[in-house]
Amino acid sequence: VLADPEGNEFCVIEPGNNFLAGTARIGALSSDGSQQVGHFWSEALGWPLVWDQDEETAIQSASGGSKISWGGPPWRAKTGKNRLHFDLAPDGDQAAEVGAQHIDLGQGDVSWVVLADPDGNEFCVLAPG
Amino acid sequence: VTLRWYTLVVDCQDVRKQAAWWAEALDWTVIHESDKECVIVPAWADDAYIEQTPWERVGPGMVFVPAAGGKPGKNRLHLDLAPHTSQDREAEIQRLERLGARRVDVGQPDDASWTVLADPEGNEFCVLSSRDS
Repeated sequence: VLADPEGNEFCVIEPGNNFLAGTARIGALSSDGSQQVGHFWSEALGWPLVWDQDEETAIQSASGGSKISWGGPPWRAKTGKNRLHFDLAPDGDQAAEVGAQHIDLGQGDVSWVVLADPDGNEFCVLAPG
Repeated sequence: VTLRWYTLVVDCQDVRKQAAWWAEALDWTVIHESDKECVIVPAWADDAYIEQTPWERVGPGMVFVPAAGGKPGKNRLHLDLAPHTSQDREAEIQRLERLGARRVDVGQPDDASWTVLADPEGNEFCVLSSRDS
């Protein structure tokens, strides 16, 4: 981290920066989304924030693997249900409580719970087991 | 860990075709196939791997499910794929194009280091610059 003559900090990222180092062939899942939603998913999955700057966020499991990133503003308006969504599995029979909103996509009486993150992106929490 | 990212669910017009396409593109394996749901996982994620890996460290698979309705604009989530530095990146992109991917313009800069493609049903994804880790 360096500072300009007026003391504004900035970073010089080396060429070929290693943002995706240690990820597999699927390097990342990139998303339109807010900083708030990055923080939400960091909490929900227990994955540390590996990037949090200018409202851009990225998270990665402490054990490595694919990152998930959100680009911050400006983002496109969400139109209808997302065509890609996460299914999450709870650990053992522990009830999942991530502070997300329950939503009705017409799923009816099913074993999974349909929720939406703070940006309205749909996701499911599967039944334990 | 509260929750494990178990899988990425993809809405499809044709679940079998889409599952087969992504399995071929990623060199993954189809482990379940029906008209209602097709599942693919990395070819290396066999029973032995699952058994010896802590629950929360097993990465996600992909599930393809039927969905009514078309695709409204650019997807809000997309996959970023990365070739290894030992691979011929351009040949890898051409392989995907031969499989049925096409190059799309989502407003990326002309000098972008990544290439934006779409799968046969129009879902956008990127091939990033080559990397070795």
